[in-house]
Amino acid sequence: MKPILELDRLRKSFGGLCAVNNLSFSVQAGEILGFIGPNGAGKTTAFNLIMGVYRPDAGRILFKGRDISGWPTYKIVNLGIARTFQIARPFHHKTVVKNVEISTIENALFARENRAARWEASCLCCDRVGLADDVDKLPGALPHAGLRRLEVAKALGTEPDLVLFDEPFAGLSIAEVEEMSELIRKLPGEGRTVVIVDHNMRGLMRLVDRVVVIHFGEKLAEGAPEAVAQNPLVQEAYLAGGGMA
Amino acid sequence: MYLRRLYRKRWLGIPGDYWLLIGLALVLLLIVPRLATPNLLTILILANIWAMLAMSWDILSGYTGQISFGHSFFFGIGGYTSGLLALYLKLSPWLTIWLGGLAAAIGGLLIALPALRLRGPYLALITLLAALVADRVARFLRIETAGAEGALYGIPPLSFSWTDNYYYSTGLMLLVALFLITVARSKMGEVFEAIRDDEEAAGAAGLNTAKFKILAFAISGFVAGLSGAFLAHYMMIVSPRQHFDLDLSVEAIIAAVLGGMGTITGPIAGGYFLVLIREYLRPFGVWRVFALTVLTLLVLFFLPRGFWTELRIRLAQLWTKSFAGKRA
Repeated sequence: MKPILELDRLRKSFGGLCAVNNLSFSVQAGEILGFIGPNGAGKTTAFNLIMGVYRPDAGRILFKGRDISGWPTYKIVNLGIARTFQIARPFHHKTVVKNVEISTIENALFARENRAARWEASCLCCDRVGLADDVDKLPGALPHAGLRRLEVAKALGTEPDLVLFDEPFAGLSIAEVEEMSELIRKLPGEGRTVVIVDHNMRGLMRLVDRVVVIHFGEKLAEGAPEAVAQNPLVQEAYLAGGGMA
Repeated sequence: MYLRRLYRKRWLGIPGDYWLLIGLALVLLLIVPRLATPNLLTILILANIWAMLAMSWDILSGYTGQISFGHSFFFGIGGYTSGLLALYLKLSPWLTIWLGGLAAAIGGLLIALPALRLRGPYLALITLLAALVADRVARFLRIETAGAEGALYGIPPLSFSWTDNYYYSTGLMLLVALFLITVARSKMGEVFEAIRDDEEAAGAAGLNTAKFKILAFAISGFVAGLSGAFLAHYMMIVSPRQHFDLDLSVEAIIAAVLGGMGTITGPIAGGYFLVLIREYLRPFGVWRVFALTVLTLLVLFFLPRGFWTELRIRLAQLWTKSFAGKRA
């Protein structure tokens, strides 16, 4: 299997704080990778580096074999990476389907475009995440779980090959976590690769194929979920084994 | 929600905003000239110019959320460019007002460059400073004119007749409105609104936000420059006092906010309202500024969506209610 995304000795500091240090790992095409670590381990910073929100101080990010470090976000998205935000960030003045439609708009001003096709694709995205009945609602009218689904729909609207989920389960009930997991589990079947960030491994165990653990910005462990959970270093990082199960 | 539905509503396949424009055109071109006194016509010429200025502010600040406090910068660039070209190169005013708009669009590009790095209050400050600097620079201009402090006199007019100028200004205003409504309803407008709501999320949706922001500045600058150029030829004078004054920037904001930001038609209503109040309250001296300011505060407080937007929503609600009543 060929890696779709490779992080190569990535480093990023904010002032004196080294948020990501010498981080290297790769994501295989078609897998679901868990990217975990205690709070403040640098997970979201790593996401922001991949998405071009920050420029890395050192190191490279290779996506589909191309070095994308330092690229602006929109180019990275158009090359095939999409993300969901940790805290849902909908366009508050647009209806649910319009929110998704934004993801389908092309940057070229005078490109020939088929508005009906874009609309249809957006509606399909809403349907896939279970928002079919809410397409005409404003995001403010959605419950928390609905907003999380909308985040997923917006990400899928960009037709990504790789989807980065930033804590998709935060604040969800057990039943809702199950529904969200089901949604994520379907993505590899469509040829999409998935990376999920979470600080809690429990919910991820049955969902992910592989896990990368980081701590203080450095890689601590990597491997199958069961093996990683037994790793003493990982247990140490999580309050001497208290946070894992 | 009502607003959204209102915008999507079509009659005979034509969106509501265009019907508003058609209605406005009929009233302004057919009815008003028959009833209006010459005095009112001169006021309406100013109203058209201010409506254009307010619309130009709206497409930038109302739609993309990049708040400008210095729209007189564009207004003045348009006025001076058009005035100078007509006066010294003897070009036809019909050509120069468009060149004035073009120059102001380039001014918009210049402002957009720092705007890509700056947000919120910093951006507002940049626009404000640009207008102040332009004002100072214009005062240093000492071209062989009779005027002191950078004023240019004797700019050739489009026409010497009030009525002609009324029709020209109305035509131009309607044209600008048609253009801006079409922009706002296109995917460009969708992207502008997305940038206003959450710029980072718009980037994460794969949109080149920098490009669309630059575009918004250029379009806004073009329209503001056009309105400034029209004023120059109508008054036959360009001066810092008339074209770069801070009051202009403030009035553009007040007109757009009074009518309703992010609607294009709202700022037309706001511009008309502002100019009519300003001109008819002239006998009251300083008090008219006071009255206008208080009125704006009241509207901001009680009708934050703007009086025009509020009116449309109320009417639409009334319409649906009576319609539902008849059915039952």
